[in-house]
Amino acid sequence: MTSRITRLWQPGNPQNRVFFPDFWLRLVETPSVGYNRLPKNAAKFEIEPKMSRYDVQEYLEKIYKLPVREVRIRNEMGEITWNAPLDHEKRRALWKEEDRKFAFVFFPKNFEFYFPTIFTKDEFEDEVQKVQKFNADDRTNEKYVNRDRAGIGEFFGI
Amino acid sequence: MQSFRHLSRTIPKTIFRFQSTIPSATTTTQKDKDLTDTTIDANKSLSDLKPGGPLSEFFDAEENFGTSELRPKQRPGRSWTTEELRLKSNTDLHKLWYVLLKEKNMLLTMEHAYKIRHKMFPNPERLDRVHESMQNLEEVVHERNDAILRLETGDSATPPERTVTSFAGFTYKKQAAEHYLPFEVTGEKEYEVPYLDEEPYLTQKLWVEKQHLKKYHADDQKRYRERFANDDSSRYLRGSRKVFNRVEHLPK
Repeated sequence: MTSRITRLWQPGNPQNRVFFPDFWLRLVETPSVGYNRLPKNAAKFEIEPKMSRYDVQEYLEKIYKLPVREVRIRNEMGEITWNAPLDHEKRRALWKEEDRKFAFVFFPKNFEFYFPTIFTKDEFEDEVQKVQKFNADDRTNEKYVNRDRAGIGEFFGI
Repeated sequence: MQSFRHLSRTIPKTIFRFQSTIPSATTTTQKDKDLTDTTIDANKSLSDLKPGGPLSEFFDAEENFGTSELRPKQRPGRSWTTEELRLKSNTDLHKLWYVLLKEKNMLLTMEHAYKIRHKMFPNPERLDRVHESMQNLEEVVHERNDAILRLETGDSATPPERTVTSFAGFTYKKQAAEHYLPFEVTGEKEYEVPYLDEEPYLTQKLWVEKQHLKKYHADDQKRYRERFANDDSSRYLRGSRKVFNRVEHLPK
């Protein structure tokens, strides 16, 4: 809807309104230390590249009812994989990631936002423990039991 | 691109860490910073207790955090069909659009959080279903809009299309755009041009020839392959088996 049909505005026209906006936003995490750390009254969003900073402000104010003070935009070009990265003259691009647009949204001073902890348990660690437990089991018997019965093993009884 | 080494199971040695995985996350239960706040302020609203505080609408229900598949009660239903949506009033459809939009944003946020940690996002079909619902909603709204416009103005609600010729002589359909001044004044008009200059004319001739040859060669290959498809002549091919050790190796 929004991103596909643009309407011109001339002085005297009523306000251009969009009734079914199809802009998307996604909240993105930021480091909690370092120069990329954001203050607690700020959040970083990845936005559809066709949005402007005023679109983002309107969006958050009207749809999410958030008190937005300021929005700053940053465009990041997608990474390109080259067939010969070091040969600047004759390299060819094989693949390019999509360009992304980020919005740094600043709220009033008394606003507090902390990105929640989504991942508490480490599934990788659980799986490693499972494999270790499996390996720790004694499986010597499996090879010797029913050894004259062509590899049946322990499943079928003696 | 930021490195995500610290998002592994080991306690991060680097100081570069995200807000959502802090060092004690891998040990015992980790409470949210919002919940561990000891000063109970009466002015704090309910939204502060949810994960993400005032931006809680961007996050899923807390019981879905970190899961690889949603529990049965949290699993999504199917998308809205056009038949169901046609029964709804315009106000209801308008509200539903924003419900779907917010859901989409939430799912995108969660998907990203999983993706950067190379984990599987639970029930990714939710995104497709929301997208489908939104498409159907748009279709229904367009139908209603189109009907009203045709009744009142006689024009359709679908934006008009123009046929445009490119510099190489290819014609393609393009959505008509609005202009401040008419083309007689500006002198710019991008519509279909019946006569081509020398270069576009030659380009088109060569293109058609190329497409024809491609098709011819593809058909030729197909015919060649079909000749040997049902034949038993595979044993006469060069490089066939000369030593037979197993029953399977024998010629068929």
